Amino acid sequence: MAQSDVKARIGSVQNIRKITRAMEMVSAARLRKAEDRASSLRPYADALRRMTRQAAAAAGAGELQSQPVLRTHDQENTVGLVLVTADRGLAGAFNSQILRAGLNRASELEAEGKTVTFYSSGRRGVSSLTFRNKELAGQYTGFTDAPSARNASDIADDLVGAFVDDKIDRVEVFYNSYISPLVQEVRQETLLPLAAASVVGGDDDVADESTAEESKGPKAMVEYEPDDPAELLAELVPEFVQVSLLRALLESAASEHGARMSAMRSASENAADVIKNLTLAMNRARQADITQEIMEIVAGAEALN
Amino acid sequence: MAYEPFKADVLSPGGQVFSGEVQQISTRTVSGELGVLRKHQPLLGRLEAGELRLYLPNDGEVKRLVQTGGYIQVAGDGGVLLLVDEAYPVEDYDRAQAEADQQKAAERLDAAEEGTEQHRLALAGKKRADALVKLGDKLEKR
Repeated sequence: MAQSDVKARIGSVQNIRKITRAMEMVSAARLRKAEDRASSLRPYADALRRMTRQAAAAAGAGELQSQPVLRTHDQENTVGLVLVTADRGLAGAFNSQILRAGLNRASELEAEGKTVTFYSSGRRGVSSLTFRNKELAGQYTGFTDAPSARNASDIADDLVGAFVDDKIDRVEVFYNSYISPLVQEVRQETLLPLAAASVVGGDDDVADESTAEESKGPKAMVEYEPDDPAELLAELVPEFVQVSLLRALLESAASEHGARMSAMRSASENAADVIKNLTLAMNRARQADITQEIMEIVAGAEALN
Repeated sequence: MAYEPFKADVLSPGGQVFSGEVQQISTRTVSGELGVLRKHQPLLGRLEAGELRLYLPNDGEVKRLVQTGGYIQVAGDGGVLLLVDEAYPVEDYDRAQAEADQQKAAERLDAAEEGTEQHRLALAGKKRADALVKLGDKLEKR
């Protein structure tokens, strides 16, 4: 390779390294924010669980079990798969591992003779599934790096609607759960039918608190709005679908930034290696040119003698 | 006129919106406007989209927020907890956004088949969007 060619390549690799470094730093900053958001959901979910427990106790036993989102369908013919991906790539295996897990599960289900309906959040998942000619029942894009409660409730409404209307009999979610900035793990969760445990169960502190409350002497009259606690319960229970979904979206967002950060870090390191090798190659080429020139001069001088 | 203060928390999925002492809370539930003072009867209620006012103790400062829906709980010990889907200062209210959401909700409702759960959810969404636009009228009149 000529010297000028190598020089041009070094220049372009240096530019790439600048970009990947910048992206790494942007992701690191966003990661911290995404982590905070993911952890701030917890107190909300716990409080919601306490309220639901109160409404369930007031509505009477059995009322909780009869909630349509908790009901297991007799026959599970259609399964909805929700793939939580990102809007953008350049995040290592982040998107592809979700798609792989989802598509594997789909072929598993299809082998059992079931129909699969896809839902995807994130442009990457949507475009990849469309490319594979998979029909998408729902596509949600434009928010994956900072999802809000509104985004989650839009998706949850679609899923709960389809589930209660018997269009789908089961919903599974695939997302990258956030373990640490460097580690993300594909997690598969059954979203619908909702497990009763996720509504009234939960961590032990909360359970203790509520039993303590119940044993506190004569019960005060509680006012309900709407008047029938069962009606309130019917509103509260589907909220858990939204909360679980929001948690998946938030964890996925944190994972996305983590994945991009490490992908960009290794890209920067790789670029540094390439630059080193190219510089060596350039020096060698220059040395060869010089040697060549000297030899020509010497040869010319000898010819004159 | 100052009332005795009590403890109130406002939580949203995005984090804590407010936590502290207030002397009065004014909000909107499915049965209409609701004012809560200290020692209110225990209550569990569904909130509707509307204005949420927190009257702070002492200087009588009022914190005005927009709530898009949620739940209110008055516990046996008198503590008040509001779980809101979303809450932001009234100054951040965006009329154009509310109308765009209303439009979207209407389209959703049109697309849904009557008698289905999807239709019921779309209807609830439309009601919420309508209430937010109506709130805009109210805020403008002031």
